[in-house]
Amino acid sequence: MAGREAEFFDQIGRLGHTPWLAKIDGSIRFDVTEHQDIRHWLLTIRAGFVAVTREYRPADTVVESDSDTLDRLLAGRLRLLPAWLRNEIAVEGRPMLVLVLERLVPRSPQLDRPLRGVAGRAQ
Amino acid sequence: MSDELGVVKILDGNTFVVSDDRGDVEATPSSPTGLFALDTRFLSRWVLTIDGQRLNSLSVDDLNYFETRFFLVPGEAAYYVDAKVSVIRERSIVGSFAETLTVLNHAEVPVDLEIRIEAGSDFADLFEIKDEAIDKKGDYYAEVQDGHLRMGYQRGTFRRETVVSTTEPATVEVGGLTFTVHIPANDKWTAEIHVKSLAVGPGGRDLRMGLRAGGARGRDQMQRELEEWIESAPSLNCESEPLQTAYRRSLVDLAALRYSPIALPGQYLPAAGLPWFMTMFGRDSVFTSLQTLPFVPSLSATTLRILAALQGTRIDDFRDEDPGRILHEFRYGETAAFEDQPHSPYFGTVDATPLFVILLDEYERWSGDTALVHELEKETRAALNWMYEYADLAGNGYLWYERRNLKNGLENQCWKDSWDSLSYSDGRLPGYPRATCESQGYMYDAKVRAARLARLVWNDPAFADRLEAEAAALKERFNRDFWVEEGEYYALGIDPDGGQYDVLTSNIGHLLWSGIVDAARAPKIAEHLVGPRLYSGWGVRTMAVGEARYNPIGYHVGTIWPFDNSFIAWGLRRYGFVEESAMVADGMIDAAEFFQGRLPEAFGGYDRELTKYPVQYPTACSPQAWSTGTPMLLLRTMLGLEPHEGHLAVEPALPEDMGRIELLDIPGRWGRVDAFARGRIEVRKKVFSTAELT
Repeated sequence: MAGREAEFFDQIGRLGHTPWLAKIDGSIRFDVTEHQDIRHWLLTIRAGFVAVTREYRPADTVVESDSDTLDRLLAGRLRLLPAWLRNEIAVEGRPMLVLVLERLVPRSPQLDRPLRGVAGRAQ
Repeated sequence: MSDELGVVKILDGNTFVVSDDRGDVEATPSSPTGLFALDTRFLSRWVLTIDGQRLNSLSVDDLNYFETRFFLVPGEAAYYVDAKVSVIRERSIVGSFAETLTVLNHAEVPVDLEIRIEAGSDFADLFEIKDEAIDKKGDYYAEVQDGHLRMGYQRGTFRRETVVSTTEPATVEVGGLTFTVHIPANDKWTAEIHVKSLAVGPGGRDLRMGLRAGGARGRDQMQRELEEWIESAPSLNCESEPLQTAYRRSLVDLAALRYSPIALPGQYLPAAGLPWFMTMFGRDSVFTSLQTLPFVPSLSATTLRILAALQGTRIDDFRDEDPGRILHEFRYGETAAFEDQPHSPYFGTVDATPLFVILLDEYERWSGDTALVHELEKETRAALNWMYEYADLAGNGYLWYERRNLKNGLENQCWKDSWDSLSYSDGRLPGYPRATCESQGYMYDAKVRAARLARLVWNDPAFADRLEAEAAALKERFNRDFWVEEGEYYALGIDPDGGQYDVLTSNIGHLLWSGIVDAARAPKIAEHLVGPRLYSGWGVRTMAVGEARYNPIGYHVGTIWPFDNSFIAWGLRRYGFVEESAMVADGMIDAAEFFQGRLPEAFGGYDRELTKYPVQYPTACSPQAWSTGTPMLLLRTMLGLEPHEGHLAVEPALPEDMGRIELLDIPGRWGRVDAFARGRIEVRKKVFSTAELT
């Protein structure tokens, strides 16, 4: 298992109360394939908290991906929508929930560097 | 839908067919005909022949936006008067494309015919068609399987397929379907042909399949929805035929332009225009929602929800994305999938973010839906934060833009987005970053309105105070930095060092709408807007006569944009210029009559006196959403409809020729109310000819 994957889901599980998640209610299951194996992560979002388990249970949204693709997604090197259009990840269920993922993905330092200030505004 | 160029279009969301008046499609790399879905052309050839002969069109019957009927006869025009055979070609798009062919034998004897449909697909991406360069990196394939013709295109894991099938016995081969039929005397033959456009996902299923709630809609349901749409909008009774026609046309076209995002099945927002822009655009969707709010408020709620859900989350130079920024354009084609184009989504717009905040407030004022204001609090705060943190590129408190995607990002990120739309009065183009005047107006308005929401709904008076203080400071600064002393108007924009784009443009009208204009200066602005340099007699030109780059058929440098005029009319009313506002509305409704009620994207800036009719700008997009919304906003402006402390205030300022108007069942927090008005404003029809200026 790629380190980033376990680290990401572990972090999500330890987020604590996250106000902006308060309006979201639902579950997302990730089915991650690597060689012949398949792993599951189940995120249950309720009342501003995210619970993460390894259960294989029905979820409102299911994301299927191979391990390498998920790793690039979590590193911020791959964006969700082009990956879906290219059929590199598959999504079923409530699509609005998947968009939450874009916000949960940690911003990598390479992508979230300061803006170029044109007239010297410090960022 | 058909227009004067012999182009016939039908659509359902972002699936649409554009054909000639026979129903045929013979696409060339540059022509936008074909069957399209997901910004991809799924049929580039679709040609009907009978015994090897092409058909000729007798008439086209537009049933509604998703179905049409062609009456055809074989042979050259000179011969068909005595046709023994005729064809009814009926087609619809209800989720997917279907065609019913009926061939009638009018003779007293049986006939044997070979009826053929040639089918082919280039799977071109809309951007490849726009750029007239189809350069495929993947492979095409085609096969016949179980009587179905399957045409495909594959590039890595990306696969798109067109599957053609029919209900009648046919010889199906790569390249088309052939029916060999015997039709008895005075009898007919009928076949249904189905065309599926697939974005192939796991297990051969469509990528979108798992995301659809409720499944596909049937034809009857679509018809019912269309009728409900029209019935639930306010009804207009008026003596002005052009206004009545324009309103009806707008309502129907707006139904056609409704688009249900994949992420929000069953909910609709306005797409920007047919055929190029059947997708979500931040700016266009917000402007159209604002125009249509008093008539069809549901569009606004969906627009706000989806734009919030897709708000920028990070800094991404390729997409010109920043946290909190509202998107510009969303596309689903191959170029977006492979990141040749940045539209997945692209964020290069300076105004969609403040406009989003403005729409949320305006929507609440009409609907009283504070739940949505609560729901979108985080996104609205992020949008406001974007203006300080990411858009103040010169560090002086204005809203600036400069693309970071230098390959195919947009050079101009304001609504006048063509390359030469911004200039100094001598015609030179400014450098970067750029700050246009109307964007500052939108930012001002966004802050003022967000302060109201912060106080009313978010229970954060400190934030409200801060926003109001910032807005007041911005207004003061703006009135100092953008005011062109010599001409007594606001500059189109400024440079980071304070230099002004000192041209006179229609943008000053949007400033009235935003409320950023000092009351003492407003009369001068109104005078310019309806003065001879800007006002043509039909409408306000994008750029004034006399400027170096002025051109009456220049896209943003002299043409007249109906949408622009609707916001100018609203701005004039806001500052109490009742006659000027009525004049702009009146000219535009007069112009609409020449377009059978369907206002185009733009028309020529020639003097009304000179051409006598509005000269349409040659553009491929019709209907265009914010032109479709124009008659509605003009109605609102003329009737003086304003939500006020929970009820609807009506204060008409109607041009005399409009006669009497009743607008019944206007929806809002008050339930439904009616508005009545009689035309009392005498409108100056004839304006000076610009020849008098020189």
